[in-house]
Amino acid sequence: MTAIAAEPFTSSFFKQLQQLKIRTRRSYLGSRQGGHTSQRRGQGLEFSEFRPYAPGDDYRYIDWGVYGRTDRLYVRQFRAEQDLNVAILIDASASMGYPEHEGKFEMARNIALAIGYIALTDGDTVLFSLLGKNNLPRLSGPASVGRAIQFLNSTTPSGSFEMLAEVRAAMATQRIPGKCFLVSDFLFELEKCFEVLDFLRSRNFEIVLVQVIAPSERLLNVELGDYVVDAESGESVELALDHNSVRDYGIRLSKHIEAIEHYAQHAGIVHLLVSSDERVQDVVLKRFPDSGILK
Amino acid sequence: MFEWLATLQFGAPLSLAAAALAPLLIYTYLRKNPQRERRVSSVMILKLLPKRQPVRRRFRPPLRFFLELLAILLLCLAAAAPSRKQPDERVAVVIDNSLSMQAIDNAAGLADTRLHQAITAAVLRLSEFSSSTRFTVFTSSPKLSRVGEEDLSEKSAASAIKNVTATWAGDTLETGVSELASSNDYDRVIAVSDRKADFETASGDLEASGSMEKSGAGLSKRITRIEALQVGTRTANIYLSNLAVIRSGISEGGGKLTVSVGYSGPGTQNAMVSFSELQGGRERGLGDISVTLHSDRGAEASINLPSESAVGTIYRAKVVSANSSEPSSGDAIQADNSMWMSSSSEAQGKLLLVDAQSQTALGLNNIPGLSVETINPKNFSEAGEADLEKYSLLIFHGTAPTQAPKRPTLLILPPLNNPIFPGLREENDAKLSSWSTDHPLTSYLRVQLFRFSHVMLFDAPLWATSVMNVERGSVVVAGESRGVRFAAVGFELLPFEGGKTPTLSILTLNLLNWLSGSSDIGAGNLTGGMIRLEPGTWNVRLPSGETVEVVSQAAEPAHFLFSEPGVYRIDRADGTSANNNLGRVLTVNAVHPDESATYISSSFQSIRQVEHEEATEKGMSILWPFVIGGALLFMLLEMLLRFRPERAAA
Repeated sequence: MTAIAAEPFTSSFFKQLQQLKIRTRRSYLGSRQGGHTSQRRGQGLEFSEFRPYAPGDDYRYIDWGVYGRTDRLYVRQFRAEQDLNVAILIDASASMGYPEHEGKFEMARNIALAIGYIALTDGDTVLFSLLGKNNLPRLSGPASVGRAIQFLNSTTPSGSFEMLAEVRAAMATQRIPGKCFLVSDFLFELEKCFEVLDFLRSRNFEIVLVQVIAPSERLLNVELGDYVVDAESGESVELALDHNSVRDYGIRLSKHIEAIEHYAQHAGIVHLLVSSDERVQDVVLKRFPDSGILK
Repeated sequence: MFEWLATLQFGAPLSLAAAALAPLLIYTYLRKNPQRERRVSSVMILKLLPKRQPVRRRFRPPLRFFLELLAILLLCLAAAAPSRKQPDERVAVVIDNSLSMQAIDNAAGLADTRLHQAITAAVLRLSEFSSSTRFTVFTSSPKLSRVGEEDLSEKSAASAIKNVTATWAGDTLETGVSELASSNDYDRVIAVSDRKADFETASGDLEASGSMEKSGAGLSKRITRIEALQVGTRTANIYLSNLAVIRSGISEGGGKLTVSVGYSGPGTQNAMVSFSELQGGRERGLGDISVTLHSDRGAEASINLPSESAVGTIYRAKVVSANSSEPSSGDAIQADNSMWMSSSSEAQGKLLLVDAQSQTALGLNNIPGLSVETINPKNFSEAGEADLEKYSLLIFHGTAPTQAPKRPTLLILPPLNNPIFPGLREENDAKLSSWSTDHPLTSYLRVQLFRFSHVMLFDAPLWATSVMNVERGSVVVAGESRGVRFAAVGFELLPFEGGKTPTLSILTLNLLNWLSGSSDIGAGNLTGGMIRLEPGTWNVRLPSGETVEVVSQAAEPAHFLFSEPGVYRIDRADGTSANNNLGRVLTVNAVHPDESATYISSSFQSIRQVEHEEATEKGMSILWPFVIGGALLFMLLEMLLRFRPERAAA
């Protein structure tokens, strides 16, 4: 499996990533000062409310206009700018390695690194988790990018696991809600898919689903009479197909993806379908901002 | 191809049954890779697809499968010990298709040509051989040529024989049969001809109980037997020869047009000779002469030419039997009833004699109408082409030019290494062995009277004819190359003494006349003869009116064969004007007195059988080593494919 190479992460791409910021629809409590508004009141740039002056308040925040109108001293309060808690969960099961040589896992990894870079350079705290493999303790600051790269390069997709259990385990250390990016092919039962999403919603995370599909997965790329094996579960199926099967397969796959989209839409979850043959620059710099994931 | 397969035999044919095990190979491949296994990211959706009618799995084996299969089949074939049975007998059949075979044989009761009789006889003879006999068919005219492929079955050989057609030329039956018999390729040579075989018996003649004699090492010596089938009966024929314009002076127009009419038959025969001239594409009758022909003795017919007849005109003579009720009854061959001649446009009568020893004309100036100039070789070498234009003929006596001149040339006793007719050797007391009876140079000549004390022998090039031969080579050769006539004589011809040495004098006059072309005598070009064409592209208009294109290369000049009698016109394809005979009219005649003499039963010399010194393989030729080789090759290829490096994973 190829490691994250210099391409597409060139210096100019990094510079472009630095201009971006993870968008959130809500305010979250952060753990420290960062670039996002939080529900905590504190120092920040966004005006929150007035409160009566109390001895010891910073007199620079006295609103003299209000005093002129009311003859009472009030100070302006601002929303505290806090860091955002970002969880980036990448499906590292065997299915992400098939079809071979079509770069599904590489795309997932590159997206994860790009998001992580944006978050780290923006002062956010980032959790990287290779579901089914390993988690990286929370990182913060631009200096952690190297560790992130090293972590994401450390494995290849293999094995099989229960998605819900792995997501639970990954999120066990996440006490503060924030933004959660879940990158997978989501080619498993819809019920299990929804269970994972429900769990993440229950943890009050703003969820982004990035579904990565290879181009040949959209077609029935098997020969009549072929014998197929699930790369993850090892389950084998002897196919009895004819030419109508190609159409059937396309319909069913579309329905599966639509079902996930539909659920995500109702749940307020952003769902983005990405093909593994797209350029990660196009995905991150164009499609993510267009979808409201980044700003 | 099928005939070749029919000769295959197997020493252990049951081994071929092992090929039935080939399906086992298919089974092993099916078992090894029963189905194509495909790993997919998820079977979740595939499991949901409705099951259709089960599809039969296609068997798509890799290339290695085919190599293994071929190797197995070849090994089975090799185990069957294939061999190819050599034919029991190899027979060469020579069909005489010369001019005489065109003769219609009325005496047979049917108007059947001798050729047709020969074909019938040959096909019948073929049917008397065993089915394993293989035949090769040849024709003998104008030279020995093979018809179709070698080693034909009886049916194929009969078909080839039935397609043989007669020519207008003489034959090479005698030399052809001798060549085939000596070749050690055939067990039997059958000559089918209207000529009788005159067999001479070889010393130590063997009884032909079989065609092979065992020698050591399992090989056998071949004996080739010669057999002759004679067809045809004596039948009368009228023919022409020696059409000539006899002029009173070499440089004058007019003269007498004369032709010799030959008759081969019994009693007397009346005939009518018609003379005509062709000029500008139109034929104008000059007159008819009736002649009476006596048994085996011809007659002369002649008319006076109008004084206005220009040199360069084409003259024609035609004879028909005066037996009006059945013209063909006294005239078996029609092709020899016409003759053409073309008189040359050159008639200057000036000769240059190049002689190192003498500066005299050596008696040539005594020939009426001929002027002679003499020069030594050194001065000749300094002369330019323009200087030689005024001469109608060059004679080199005891010397030769360094390259072939562009004027008609006679070489008398030239050096061996001359550039025109290379000499073979010199000999003393050579005996005359043969001569061409229909060449203009032997006209009116009693060749048998020649006696040679010292001669020089020539090796006649392809474009030339051996006119007179001694036992070991030619002493008089003549021919036309690049539009120029050349001749060489290997004995002393000069000085010209006229009536004192009549034989030499007649030959000298024949040479002068033929070379200069000022008075065409004799038969001109003959059917079956060839002319060499200069490099370039030529259009040759045939007597039939059809034009053929002939391309002559500098490295390999083309030789055009005169296959039919009549008037030919040869021009450059690019239409450049003729000069030095590069574009000209040629007359070709079917004058072969031996062929036309159909009332005389002629013969050809042959020995009855030839025992060859070299042994030859007989019986079977084994094939299994080749089959094993093929199997090993396929196995090697299969191994290379099996162990080729896998492509590196991306």
